[in-house]
Amino acid sequence: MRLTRIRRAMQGGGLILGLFGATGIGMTHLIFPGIHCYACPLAVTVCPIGLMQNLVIFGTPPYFWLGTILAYGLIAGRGFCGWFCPFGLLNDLLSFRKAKISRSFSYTKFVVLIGTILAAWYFADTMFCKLCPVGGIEASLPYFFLGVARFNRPFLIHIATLSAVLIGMILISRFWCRYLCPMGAILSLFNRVSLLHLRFDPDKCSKCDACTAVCPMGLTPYEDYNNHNCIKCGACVEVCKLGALTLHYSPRRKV
Amino acid sequence: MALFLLGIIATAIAAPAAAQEPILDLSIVPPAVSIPAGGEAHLRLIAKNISVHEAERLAVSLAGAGRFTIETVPEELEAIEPFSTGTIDIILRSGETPEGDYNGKLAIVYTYCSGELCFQIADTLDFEIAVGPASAAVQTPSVAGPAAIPTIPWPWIGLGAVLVILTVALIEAKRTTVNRYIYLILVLISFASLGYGVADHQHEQAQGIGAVLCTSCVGLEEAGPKEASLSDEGIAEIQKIEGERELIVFYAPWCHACPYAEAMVEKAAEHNPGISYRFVDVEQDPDLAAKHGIIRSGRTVVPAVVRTDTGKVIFGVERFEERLIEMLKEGG
Repeated sequence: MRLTRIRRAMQGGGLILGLFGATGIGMTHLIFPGIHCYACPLAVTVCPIGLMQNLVIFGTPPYFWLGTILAYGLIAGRGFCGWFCPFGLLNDLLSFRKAKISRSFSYTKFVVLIGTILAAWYFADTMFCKLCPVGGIEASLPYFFLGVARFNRPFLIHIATLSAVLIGMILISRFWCRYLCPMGAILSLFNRVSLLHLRFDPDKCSKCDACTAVCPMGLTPYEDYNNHNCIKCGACVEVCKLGALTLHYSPRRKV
Repeated sequence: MALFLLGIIATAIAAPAAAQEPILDLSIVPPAVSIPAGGEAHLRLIAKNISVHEAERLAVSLAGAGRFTIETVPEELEAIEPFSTGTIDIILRSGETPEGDYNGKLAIVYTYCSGELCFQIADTLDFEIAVGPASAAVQTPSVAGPAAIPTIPWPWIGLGAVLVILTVALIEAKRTTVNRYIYLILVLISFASLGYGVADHQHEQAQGIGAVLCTSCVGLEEAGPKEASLSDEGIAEIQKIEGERELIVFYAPWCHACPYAEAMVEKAAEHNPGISYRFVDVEQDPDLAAKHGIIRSGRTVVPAVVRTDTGKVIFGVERFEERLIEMLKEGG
């Protein structure tokens, strides 16, 4: 439970960072290490996916974006999904049903990522933002309640995608993170090299599948640790009484 | 987390002012040019827009360089989109200028609007001119024509190289369990990319993109042109004002919000005969504009309304009615 408490505190920190505009500070140069809509009235950081689309539209070689994303990838990889992302926190809070992951569908997040880039290039517009459920909950709804947004087509599209994803989250734990998140797809590329990583000791494992039962991503942790779907949340580490799985923060990797 | 919060505070403090700042990163190639006496040389002005605002009406003239003359193609750049680059080719003619070394200075003027405030920015760019003998031009042309200016897309080539190294490193990392060297390579790539990005103002670009709300994304209505009208309370307040008030409304042909300010002042004057006004085009009367601080250090800000007896100025049209009435009421 100690790990869960630390993780919740970190997720709370991510939420505070996401809503730091409440202090009166405006938009900064920083890119958020997760998916967080910069159209949120209280946002002070730039959404990596929104920025990526704009860079495609403007034809800017994305050095600043790449350097930042690479740094995030090296620091924690998808650990940011499990430990920091506010939308990941919402996924967690609605994770009632820990269904087994469908491996073939887990690659759809890469299709979403590539589709996002191609759509930005083809339409010269931030098409993903118009559908993004994160924008729905963090921007459209707040602006609607502030009396600024209207009950119009863009608003309804956001609410529709948000509703669909919320239903998905209730039916399948971490539904968004498993199958759809383009930022999760990017960070997953660095899961094998990130400082935050899981280690597995096969000699200690009895394959009791206690870890499989609690994994919010529907993985079999003693087989899938650190793979592209692993968000390094540590739920498996916490439940393993034999200490076969451990969480580490180091550039060294040991089996 | 603490690092993030420190970063936020630091970048918020370091954030460039959103308005009245130059938005074009200007350079001239070549920075030094040789020109035969009585001949001509070619230069190119490169204007890189580093903001989310569209730069408009960029014009170039030669400042203080004796008998030299220039011709620009195109004569004026109508618009440079955000984060894009515009170029103007310049033909520099030496005319009767005697042989020798000279310092050339280009005067560059452009405008942009941020919200309902519009600015004119005047900037200068220095370059060196060496005037040689007339015969030299015939034997060895020393001028650099626009076609000679390199257009190799180095940033994209560099990015391709970075992505190749990154891909190889990530594939290698998947095969091995101890990857300190791979980690080091990735850290270096990250730092190098960040460093180049910051040097190229891409962090400011990111901030600019983040600061602009995609209205069509979140269901906000696009803001249409403001309709000039006074509220009933505003009219009552204006009617109560006693005495004479003389206003000058400074405007410019390139200012999008100026017609609104002009119409609002006209309407205020309709409700109180003590209010008189005149419209002044800052381009036609720059001295008067400078006297009232509308043009300062090469920066022009319009629309601006000046009350002549107090010298008070209001810029822009944000909460225009409220600020106009407050200005009119001041001093009884």
